[in-house]
Amino acid sequence: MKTVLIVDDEENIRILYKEELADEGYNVILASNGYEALEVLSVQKPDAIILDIKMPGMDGVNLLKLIKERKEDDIPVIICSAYEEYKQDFSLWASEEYIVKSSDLTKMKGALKRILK
Amino acid sequence: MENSKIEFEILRDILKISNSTLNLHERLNQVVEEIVEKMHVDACAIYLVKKGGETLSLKGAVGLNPEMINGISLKVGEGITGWVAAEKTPLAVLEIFKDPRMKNFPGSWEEKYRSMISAPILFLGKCLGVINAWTIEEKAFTTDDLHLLSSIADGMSGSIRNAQLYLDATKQYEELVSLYDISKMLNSTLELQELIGMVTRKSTEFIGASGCMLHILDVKDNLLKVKSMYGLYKSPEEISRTQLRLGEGVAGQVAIKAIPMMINNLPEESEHLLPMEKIFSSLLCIPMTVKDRVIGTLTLHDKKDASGLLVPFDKDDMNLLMALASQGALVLENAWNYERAERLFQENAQKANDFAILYEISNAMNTTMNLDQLLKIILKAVTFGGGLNFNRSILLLVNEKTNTLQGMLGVGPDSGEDAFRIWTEIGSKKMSFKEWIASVNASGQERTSRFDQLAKGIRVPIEYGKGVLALTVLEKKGFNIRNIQEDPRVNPDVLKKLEFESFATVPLISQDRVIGVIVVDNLYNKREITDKDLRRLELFASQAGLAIENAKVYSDLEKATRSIRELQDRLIQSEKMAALGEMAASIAHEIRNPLVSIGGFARRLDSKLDASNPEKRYSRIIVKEVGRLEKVLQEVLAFSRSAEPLFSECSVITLLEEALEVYEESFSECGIEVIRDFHEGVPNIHVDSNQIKQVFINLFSNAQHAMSKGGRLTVGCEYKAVEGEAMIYVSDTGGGISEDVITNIFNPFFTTKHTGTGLGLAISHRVVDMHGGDILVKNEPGVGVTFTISLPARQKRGGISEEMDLSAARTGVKGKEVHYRGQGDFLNGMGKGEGSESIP
Ligand SMILES: Nc1ncnc2c1ncn2[C@@H]1O[C@H](COP(=O)(O)OP(=O)(O)OP(=O)(O)O)[C@@H](O)[C@H]1O
Ligand SMILES: [Mg+2]
Repeated sequence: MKTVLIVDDEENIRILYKEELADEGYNVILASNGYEALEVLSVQKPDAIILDIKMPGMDGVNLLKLIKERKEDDIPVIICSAYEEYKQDFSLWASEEYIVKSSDLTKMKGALKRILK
Repeated sequence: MENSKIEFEILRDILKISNSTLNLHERLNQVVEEIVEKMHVDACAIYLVKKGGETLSLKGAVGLNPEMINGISLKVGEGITGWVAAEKTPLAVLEIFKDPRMKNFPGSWEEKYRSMISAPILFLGKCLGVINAWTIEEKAFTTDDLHLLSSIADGMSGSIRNAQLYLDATKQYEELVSLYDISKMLNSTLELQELIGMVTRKSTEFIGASGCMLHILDVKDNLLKVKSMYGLYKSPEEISRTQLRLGEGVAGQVAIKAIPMMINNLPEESEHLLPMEKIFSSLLCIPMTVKDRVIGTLTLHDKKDASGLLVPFDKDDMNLLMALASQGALVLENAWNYERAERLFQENAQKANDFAILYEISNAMNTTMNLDQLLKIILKAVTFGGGLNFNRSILLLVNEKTNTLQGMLGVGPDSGEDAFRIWTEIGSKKMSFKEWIASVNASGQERTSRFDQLAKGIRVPIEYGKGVLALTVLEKKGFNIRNIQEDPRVNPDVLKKLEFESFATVPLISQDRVIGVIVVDNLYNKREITDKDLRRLELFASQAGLAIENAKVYSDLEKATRSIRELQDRLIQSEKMAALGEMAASIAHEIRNPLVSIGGFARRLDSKLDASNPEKRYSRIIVKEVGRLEKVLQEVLAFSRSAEPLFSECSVITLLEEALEVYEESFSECGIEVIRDFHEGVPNIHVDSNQIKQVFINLFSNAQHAMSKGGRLTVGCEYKAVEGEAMIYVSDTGGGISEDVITNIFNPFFTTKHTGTGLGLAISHRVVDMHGGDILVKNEPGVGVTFTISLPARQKRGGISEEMDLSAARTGVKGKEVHYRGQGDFLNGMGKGEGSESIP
């Protein structure tokens, strides 16, 4: 079973993602900001990360930078943000996906599948 | 969540109101009503800061006594409202009557209320006004409420500022229009006394002074003589001294120094003043000059405001009066020339005929303000049988930029037969000059002759050694060339094509500068050009120069008026857009998260409910409505400032095809026939492909709505190589747009549809604008609409690849590169902070 780490500061969204992805057969871990996510990453290595950008504490950009610096574990990241105007910036930066938050999770699930195949 | 929904609703309504076509007063009233209704308060009012920034006056209110509107005004700093304006900070007050700020300020009517909330309306750090809301019961307003009221204030600031700018611009515009009217009037009459009277009257009315006196300098005895007076002069003693020596009194000083004088604190300031001048409390005196020579002075006294109170003259008055005086001076000088001409006319009976015609010609010249037509009249006059009586003439004007003489017009028959025909015609009909000009102006009469074409092709550099035309300009005098072959001054190349054998030239002089040259000859009847002919031509040319200068002033003025109006339109549009964009972005992002959870869970619910379950209908509705809200959000965001284009080379035609594909199905469902008119050779151009495709999609969506019962859509694209622009047009047969809304269609949130958001065209406009292009609409009511978009092929700056190298905020991660364009806070923060060094 593949493990997915979800990092988002909105509790309702974490629950929504978790339930939807659990239905799809993923093992889901939750973190509500960058620090919590780093804690999780220090003890285990998920197969993919779903990352919000704007969060209190350590935000998604800084977390992403730290993850990418640690070359040894090459974990794919899907950015899932309320902002759509930075898509271009991120797609040039990291090869992974950038998804604009939507109540329809089909795109996110599709991206996960692509990345983890 | 609850709160942000209400907030979005309110702010959206407020934006709609701000962008509506209502006047400011009505808009403010609608806003306060909206606040009372949605924020559950008992009263609400908006105060605006008056010009000068010291007082606030009540401009819109609900729940207060209506008579108070416009009646109430406060000092900035006074009471709670004044405090908010001074500190530029929002404030919530639980118990108004206990607030220390109310102590020294008996705001009697406010005692009816117990709690209030107040926020400043700020624009670029300046306080434009204050919004207040009151409750009768005690109410503890929260920080959310404060935040909301501040957002509303932000939302309105742009539109308030626009309204103020608009007022200023209108005032300026009206001033220009009056100037223009005056110059038009001045130029259409030639009665000297009437003219002078008009100058004094208009100046007085225009500036709002109590009276005006015009002195003219008599060159014979060097005395300033009163020629006209207007307005309230108190006693006959004031006008008893109608003559001033140079240097005597204010007018005498002004005439000697040739600079204006403005005295606002009479009679304390009494140096140089005559006793009669001390009767007034303020004076503004301007020299009237023609060609740097003072011909007289114009003195205004005692400016009053609308309510009749004395107010000082200011710099603006001085500038306006100077503009007026220079117009006036020019025309007076002009009129004198006429008077002189008229006198001569009477004195020399034997030359009566000649002068009558010259007089008529001058008349025609001075009543014509259109430059092209004027030039035509000048040349016609030169060749008219009873007038100057030359066979052919050419008018050339000096182009100061290139320092060349350029042919403007040639008048004359192309051949001997032609000449014969024209002359017999004029002779047999005994036409007067006026009739002749009228017949010339009647359209169709005139076809451009070969001679005219050749004349228009003449270009001569204004240098010595370049022939006699250049010499006429350089030496400021005319030449009579008897034999073109033998005269060393002639440059044969220029005049050979025109078959000149002998000819004469004369400079056109205006304000001491040579502005052009007239060339004449008598090719057909071979009559020799005499020195007398030449003198008459010179006399005529001096009149013509003046007329041309007048026409130029007039057309400059016309241009200025037009450009100020355009500027004003553009200003309003762009400020509206900018304010909207910023606010929309910040709200939209806040709302997106709650929408994701509402919609996401509704979807989960929906998938769990059996189709037979009646609740399934509800979940469906939630899913659908959330989907709609998300679409609105996306449009609002697309509109926000941050969506700067990302340029790459694209084929516009491919983008058009892709956008057409999106609508293929609905077009065929509605019975819409699509016609493609794609020209060959359209190169790839620099655009943001997503944004431009969105623009096309918006246009197609509108076309589809307009033609829901069928029609024809024509989509075209061609390349204008000269301009370096791709032109795209989208044309429908959907009945067009009604004339009364056409000016609104590019405004955000303007829609005539039940389900529209009204952002389609606003976004398209923004996108095209940021590409440096243009979007135009051609509307045929009852038929259809054509949108035309022009896009420059190359962007002057900022393809992504160039930005990459120039950007200081650049860093590599894992060997790949990041670029950001300084939009969001978080990305900026990273660029400046720890992330700015490069990570290998
Ligand atoms: N091709 C057209 N024919 C007739 N009317 C048009 C056409 N295009 C635009 N309009 C008018 O201009 C208005 C504004 O158009 P715009 O695309 O900005 O908003 P909308 O279509 O109403 O909503 P949205 O595009 O945001 O869903 C329309 O409501 C319509 O009245
Ligand atoms: Mg539309």
